Amino acid sequence: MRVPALLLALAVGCTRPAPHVEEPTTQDMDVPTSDGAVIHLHRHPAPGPPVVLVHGISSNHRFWDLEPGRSLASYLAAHGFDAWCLDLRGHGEAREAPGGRWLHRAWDIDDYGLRDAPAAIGAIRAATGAPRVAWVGHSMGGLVGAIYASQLGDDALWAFVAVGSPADFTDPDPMLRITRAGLSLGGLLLPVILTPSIAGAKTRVDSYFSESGNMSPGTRRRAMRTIASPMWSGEMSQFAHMMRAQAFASSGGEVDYRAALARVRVPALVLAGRADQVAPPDRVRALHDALGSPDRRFVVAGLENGFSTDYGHIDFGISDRAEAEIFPLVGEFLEAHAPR
Amino acid sequence: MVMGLLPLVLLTLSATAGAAGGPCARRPAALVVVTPGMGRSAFDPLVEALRSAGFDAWTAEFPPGAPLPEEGADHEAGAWIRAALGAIRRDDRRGILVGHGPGATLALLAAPGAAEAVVALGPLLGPPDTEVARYLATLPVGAGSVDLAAPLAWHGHDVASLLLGEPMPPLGPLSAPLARTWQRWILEGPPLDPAAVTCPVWIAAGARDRLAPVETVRGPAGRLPDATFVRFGRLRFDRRDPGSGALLRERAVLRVMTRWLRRTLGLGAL
Repeated sequence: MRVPALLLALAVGCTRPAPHVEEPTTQDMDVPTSDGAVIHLHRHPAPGPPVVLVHGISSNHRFWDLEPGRSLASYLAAHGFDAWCLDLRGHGEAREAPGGRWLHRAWDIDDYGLRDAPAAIGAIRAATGAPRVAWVGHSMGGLVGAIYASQLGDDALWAFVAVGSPADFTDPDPMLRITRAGLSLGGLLLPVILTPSIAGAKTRVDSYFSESGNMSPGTRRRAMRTIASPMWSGEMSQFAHMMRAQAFASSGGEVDYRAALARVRVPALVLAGRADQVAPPDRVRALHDALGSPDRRFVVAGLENGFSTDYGHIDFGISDRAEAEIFPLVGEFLEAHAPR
Repeated sequence: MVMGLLPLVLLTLSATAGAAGGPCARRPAALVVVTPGMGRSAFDPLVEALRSAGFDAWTAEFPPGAPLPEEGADHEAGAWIRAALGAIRRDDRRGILVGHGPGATLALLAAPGAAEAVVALGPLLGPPDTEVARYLATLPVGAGSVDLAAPLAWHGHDVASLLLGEPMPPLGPLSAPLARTWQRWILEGPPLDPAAVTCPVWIAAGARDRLAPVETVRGPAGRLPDATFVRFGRLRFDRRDPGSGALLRERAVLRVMTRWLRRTLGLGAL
């Protein structure tokens, strides 16, 4: 039997993201949040409307900006969009957190949606003068955008793109039940699970995250070393809670975010991967179906829809074909809905 | 061994003799709807699994020349299946229906008031919502039948292989009215009233099923009054993510299916 990835990740050491050689035009910015944390924005400036790109759990902004040819941020900037990659608190270059980075359950996913997201959007609006920003989130990053838009309103957004973001936690599959147990235990006992070292190894674990053949072993190792970030206790606890409650809900369970998505009316693209074992297409489709957006689209990246391969969970941002197949899909959606 | 034809030569009914010595009046009847256009041999592992689990397993095939009407072919086919199930039941039990893909949808259309339970392997419960399906819906269908075994390419793939996966079931002719009916299902979904299917339904979905993708099955499955949904694939520690064709022969699928059937029908464990 395969050992779930999240449990295997317990035994490892932490590294910082690998050095990132950037073209000189990029800019970096630390932004304080309303509760004293700091988030980080990494910008690929361009004259067009702003887009914020948000990573998932145990990841950082490099997921959307790994290297030339594997950077949605560069792709969008090349197509005229002002692309901003966000590090949520505790991830990548965002190192400050209220109460200290290592405090047990110092923050949770609600904080990302209700504090980090408005801070990022506010900073981008202030820097650009643009009234609205497009949100592109991978996995948890899509859920963070959903929390923000459903709770604080979508007035400051001109488009919402969620990639591999599950909003249906009902009837968990056996693998998800074990993951839930691992998250519950991890969230209870540990301030953080450090993932980068093991993520660089070729194991059965990463076949859970990426479809075999979608990137070379060298790329996979390099990518996993770079994008893997700590998984914090509050994240684990809230995901475990959502899986127990079988609801996309706030950490106390008092807010049903899935139901609240009916209030989100901004144009939306929801993308799922046929080979995604973390967020299978039916669980991602629930996010699309819950949105109130009159203009919304759901796409499964798989052979049956003309893609060259079935996409796994992390393949959307960093696989060999992402630049040819996923980035244009996102770019064309944004182009079609960009403010004029 | 072909046991007989329905009076109007509509459906070919077969019961295959096996180790248990052929149909048995004391066994619950199970009617396997052979997916129109697919060869019956594809269903052999399924039939054998049912027989081994204590069912009097029959297969029902739609001959390619079956006189189905252009309008309402799906409801007419459902009526034939209901009649066939009535013909094979031997006691007070209604019997069960088993189907795969569009055949499972026909079984669900036939089920209200007729079946004690339904097994639906990768059923079409709504529009498949895929590009390849929408392509199929645009193809012209002439009179007579469509040969599903004929090569058909789309984006560099053989369509049948793409939709059914490995192992590839044998294919053959499909009656034109049913072909047009399925084209309509692709665009509009089948005319299935979930509330009418009140008997227990077991639904298997393959994680790589491209004929009835899981995201188009799970939601509608939840609207059936008494449905059990199981996704097969690596998320339940299966060796691989099955496609549509694999649902007919994967041991894990057949094992869980027969266990559910015996429990649901109160037959106890084997």
